[in-house]
Amino acid sequence: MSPETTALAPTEDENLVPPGEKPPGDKVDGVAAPPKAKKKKIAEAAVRMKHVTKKFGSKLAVDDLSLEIRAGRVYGLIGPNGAGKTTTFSMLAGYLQPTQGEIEVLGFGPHQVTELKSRVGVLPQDAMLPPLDKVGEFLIHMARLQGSARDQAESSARAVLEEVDGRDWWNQRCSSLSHGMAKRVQLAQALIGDPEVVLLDEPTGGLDPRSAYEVRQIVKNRKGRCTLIVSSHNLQELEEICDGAAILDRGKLVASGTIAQLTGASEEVHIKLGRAPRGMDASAYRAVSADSIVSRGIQRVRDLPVVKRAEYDDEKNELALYFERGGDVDAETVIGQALWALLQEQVRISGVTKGRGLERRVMDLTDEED
Amino acid sequence: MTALNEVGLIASREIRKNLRSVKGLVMVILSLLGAIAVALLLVKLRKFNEMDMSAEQLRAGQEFVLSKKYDDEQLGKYLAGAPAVLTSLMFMTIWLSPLLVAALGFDGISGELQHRSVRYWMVRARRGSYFAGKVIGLWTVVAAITLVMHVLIWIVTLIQGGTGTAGASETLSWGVHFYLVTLPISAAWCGIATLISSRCRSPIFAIFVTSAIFAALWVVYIVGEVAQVKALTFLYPNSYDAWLLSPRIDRVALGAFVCFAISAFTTGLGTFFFTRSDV
Repeated sequence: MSPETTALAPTEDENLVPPGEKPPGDKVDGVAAPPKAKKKKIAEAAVRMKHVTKKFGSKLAVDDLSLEIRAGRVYGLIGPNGAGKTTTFSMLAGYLQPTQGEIEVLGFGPHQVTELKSRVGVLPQDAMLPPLDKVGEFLIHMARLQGSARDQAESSARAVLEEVDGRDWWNQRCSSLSHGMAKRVQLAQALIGDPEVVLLDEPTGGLDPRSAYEVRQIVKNRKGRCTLIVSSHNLQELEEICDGAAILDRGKLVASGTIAQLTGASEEVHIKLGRAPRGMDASAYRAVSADSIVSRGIQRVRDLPVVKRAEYDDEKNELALYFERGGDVDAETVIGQALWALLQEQVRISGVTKGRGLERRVMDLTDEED
Repeated sequence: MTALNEVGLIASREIRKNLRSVKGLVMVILSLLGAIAVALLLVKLRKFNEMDMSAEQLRAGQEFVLSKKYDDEQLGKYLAGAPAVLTSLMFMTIWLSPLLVAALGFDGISGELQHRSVRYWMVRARRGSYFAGKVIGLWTVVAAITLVMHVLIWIVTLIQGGTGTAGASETLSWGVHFYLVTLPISAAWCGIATLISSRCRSPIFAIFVTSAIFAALWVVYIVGEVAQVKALTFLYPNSYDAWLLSPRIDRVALGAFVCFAISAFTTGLGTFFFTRSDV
């Protein structure tokens, strides 16, 4: 099956920096930001990629990728292994040069380090911390390279280390840190100096659930303070923290937009039906005959004027409702009316979700073509 | 932040890293062993002195050997005035310089490329600053280790009185002079070693390539010497010691200029490649 390409146009509500909110890069929570680059450009788009291609020898890693990420958003790069997420991420960070195309971060090329230093923070995947350095001196060194004076660098370093809950590691050598601790220190170096754009490549990769949750909270706390671009395999995590995302497959962009657009949350509702109550004949309950409870319930839902289409998956015991958003009709209205209709027929409800879920959407879009 | 500040920060970190590493400590120990070896040589020389040889005869012998080595009588005569122990030490440190640089510098960049640690620097420092900082950091460490070795020998030489007729101030003056001669030469080697390190993605590969290239340069030098093709000998940074040791200031300046030019050229070339490569 050929992957469906649905590059969704940005909508009006995509600019997610609320009015009156602090612009990214200002002083936050008493942490002094280092002096910004002299040639600071105010860019509405934090990141812009135009027809970017990256080849490694004959292997095409990223194929004609165009993307624009507005400032202030939390944006996910999604895709299976080999989709080109990390390559895209590495080009944004300036680690890799595109074979073709143009990339702009805050209006500058990723290699314009002088202009971007302290404005862009990066958590690279699998980049080992220098083993002989102590955590504190490593962070101070990074802050100083960003242009902070010695004492200011130390206070910035201590502040970010505290933010990642690692204040006790200041004098520890990087080589002695556990994987989870190292990941937090890596995150701390990316957040140092309150950058306007933060690129996070697999921020929770390899972490236990608790550490992953804590790292997610740190990332969530940064929401609204900067543009966050997160590359991850963990779709639930991305759905939870991102405003928008791009889905990549085999180096190509197959879909992009807000999470609601990608999951169809504004036009689709899924209702998971429960099993037959104890003591009741399953066939009398399930939709195998026209007069079963479920069949009657589904028919009743289909008759609702707000529902455009209703599909029942007998295997999953799930009802998918499609509707057209507008006027008084939104997902909540459809859910309310559909549940009422089903309950009237005594159909048992197990769960309700808006949209298909990012995971299913990604699975649909990146389905095998091999 | 200026590029110079970035270079300074990266160089100071490189120094700290090298002196903290096991490798750095091993190098310090080796330099101490080298110093002890020269001290033993000193004892041998004293015995040699006792073999009914006058100071004039000894000086004449030194002059002959040094004139032959550099194919320059004026230089031979000039160097014969220096304590033999210090001259030997200088030759040893110049000869050891590429080995020391290779041992300390092979993983300067390749190690950080292998583990991708380099990425932490790439968003904060110009690649040229990173490269230059690595070269200067390495050079400073090599210079410091060489200095430790030289100072030890100065002390041993002064205590044992093995400097022949030379007094303490003369010994120290020659000692400092000879130490300074090693600096431009090691700077050239540091530039070459860092260039090689930046082109290798694993330290193990870098040490092989560095050793092979350094050995190849030495072979080219030997071939140039044997075949009397002067141009070939100039490819080997150690060959500039003849100019750097000269009593003529213009030749010293030229020697230093060429050595630092090699260092600057390799740093520039390394930066050129490094800026265009994926990390």
